[in-house]
Amino acid sequence: MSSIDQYVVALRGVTKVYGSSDVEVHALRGISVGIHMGEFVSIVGPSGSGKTTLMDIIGCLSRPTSGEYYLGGKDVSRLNDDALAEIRNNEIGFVFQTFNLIPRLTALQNVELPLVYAGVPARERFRRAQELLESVGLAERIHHKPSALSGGEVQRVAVARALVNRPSLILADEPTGNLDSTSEAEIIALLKDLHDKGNTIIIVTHNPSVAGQAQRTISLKDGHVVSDLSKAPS
Amino acid sequence: MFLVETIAQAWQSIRSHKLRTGLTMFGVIWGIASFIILVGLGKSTLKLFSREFEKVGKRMLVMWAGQSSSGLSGIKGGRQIRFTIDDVEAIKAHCPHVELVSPQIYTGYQETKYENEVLSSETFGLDVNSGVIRNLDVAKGRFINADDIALNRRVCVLGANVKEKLFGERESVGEFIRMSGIRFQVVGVLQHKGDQLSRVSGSIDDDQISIPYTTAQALFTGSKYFGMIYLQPRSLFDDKTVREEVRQTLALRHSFEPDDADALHFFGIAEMIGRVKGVAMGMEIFFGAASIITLLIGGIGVMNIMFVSINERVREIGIMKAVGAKSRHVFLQFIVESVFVTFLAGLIGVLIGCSICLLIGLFNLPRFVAAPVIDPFVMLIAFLTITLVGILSGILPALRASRMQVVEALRYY
Ligand SMILES: Nc1ncnc2c1ncn2[C@@H]1O[C@H](COP(=O)(O)OP(=O)(O)OP(=O)(O)O)[C@@H](O)[C@H]1O
Ligand SMILES: [Mg+2]
Repeated sequence: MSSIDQYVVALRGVTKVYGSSDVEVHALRGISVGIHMGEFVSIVGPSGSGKTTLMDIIGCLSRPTSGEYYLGGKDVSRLNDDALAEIRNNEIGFVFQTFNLIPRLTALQNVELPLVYAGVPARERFRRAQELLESVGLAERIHHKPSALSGGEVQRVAVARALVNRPSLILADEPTGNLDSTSEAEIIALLKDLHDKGNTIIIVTHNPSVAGQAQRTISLKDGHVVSDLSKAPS
Repeated sequence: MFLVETIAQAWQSIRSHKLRTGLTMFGVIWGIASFIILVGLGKSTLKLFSREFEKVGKRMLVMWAGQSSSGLSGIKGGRQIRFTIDDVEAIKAHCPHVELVSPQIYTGYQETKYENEVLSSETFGLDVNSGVIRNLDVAKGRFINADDIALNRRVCVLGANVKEKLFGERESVGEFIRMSGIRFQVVGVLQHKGDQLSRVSGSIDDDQISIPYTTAQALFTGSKYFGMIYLQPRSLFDDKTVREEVRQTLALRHSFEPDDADALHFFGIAEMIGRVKGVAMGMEIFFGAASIITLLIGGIGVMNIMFVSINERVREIGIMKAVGAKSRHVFLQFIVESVFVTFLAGLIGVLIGCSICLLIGLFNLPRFVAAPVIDPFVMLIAFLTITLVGILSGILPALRASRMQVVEALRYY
């Protein structure tokens, strides 16, 4: 790693310790990884190896206990909560295993939500959210609440929400963990398509065939990176 | 713009828990309704009593003569003071805060006859101004005029009940009646006033007969002296000043010390209203405080439900934060929700309170009970209080929500 500037994501000796001093859990034990703009990276590893913890830090949902994290060349490892919220709002799109849509809101309102906090005017919000829902094939469903949608459809709404702020980074932590194989294929196809359009995508998965779709696979074990393999472009 | 969004969301979240929210709102609804009813009752009572007192004269100030307790410049004390028309003239000339002044000569109960009807009516000798000072409005004909006074005319103005009893439905103006055998021509009939909480004598104005004071002196008292003068200050606030001016003026003429409390006695509308105001204010404060406490207890209910709601929505708060909500966004979201619930409850409370006020007005109320008034100022206070209660009940829950850690909130089950 010659310069942090060439990476969208650059981690240096990142550790994460949970809990108090008597019951410490070392979830990450010194991670150094650099991810380039436009990469499609999968993160794999056994349960409890620290994948979600790593994604939380990359997604600015939490701060590393020690080490440095540069996002787009900027050190974000010591920012306060509101500053991190702003970065999540501007730079990062999340797709969660548990979908995490707000049940009271319609698909459209859920997709608009990040733009609400970004202060985008209502017309513009509506236009962008509607456009994205159309692009994930939910044009007919924009006024439905999550409870009226199938798992696969809900996750497509979540993908639309992740994209609505035009983030520099899309993070998906086991996005297909709660889906059947048909829906899984749809979501993975969607993510691949996004990658083809130039987005940077990081995905955590237990499914080897999903991991196989990525250009690069990072394996974690006990909070360490045990392998970091890139496919030769085919 | 964010606020609009926030309010829309608050509305949605309230709608998804209609029953629970409704039950919570009950305390606030009742607090506000009772606030409006009870304070309105205080206000209407004050109005009712003020109106009742004003019947006798809207700024009337009665002065009657007493005994001077000490003499002045060699004259002995302990004399009974007696007014003459010159005193009235002196007051007119020297008391700038007196708008109107008139003598009033008491001529007692007179046997009054018209055809076969006989009555005993309290009779007063009055001046041209007395009608204004004592709120004696003419319904038919005219009041006593300057010529009546100058010529000692035997004319009279009948109270509404006197007319009714003597004449019934018949025309009375222009007719002649006899008072203690003396013929008087009826020149006017007064408007019906009804019952009075305050009176100038034993009978109500409707039961009295007014005649020119000169006529009263000539025919009934046989004296140029009299004991009462009626005054009307330029405004109710001039009440004190007028008493002072009149004391000064008459002290000189009757040789008593201006600060001699026994020489002149006063009683006026200003002090009657003042007393009622005190009672009504006390009522308003007590009732107001009682209902505000109800409201605050309602507010605690709202706070409780906000905590419940936040505990149910931890995940949601996590999601909001994950997609970019800052602490203040979350805080605002829940404050708005709390204010919204309280405000909605307040609005319902205001409607219920006003409806009850109006409803009470539809009934035949006992004497001296008035339907609560709907006062815009009370409304304003009510809405300000509601908003305040909403904010206060929301602060703690909203703070808790805004301080949640995003990762923990997202993974909360
Ligand atoms: N909030 C927390 N407090 C304490 N320990 C935690 C916390 N979150 C995670 N851990 C621990 O940190 C370690 C890593 O957890 P993490 O969730 O990152 O694993 P993972 O690789 O995502 O696992 P999985 O595949 O099951 O999702 C685990 O041992 C876990 O028990
Ligand atoms: Mg995980």
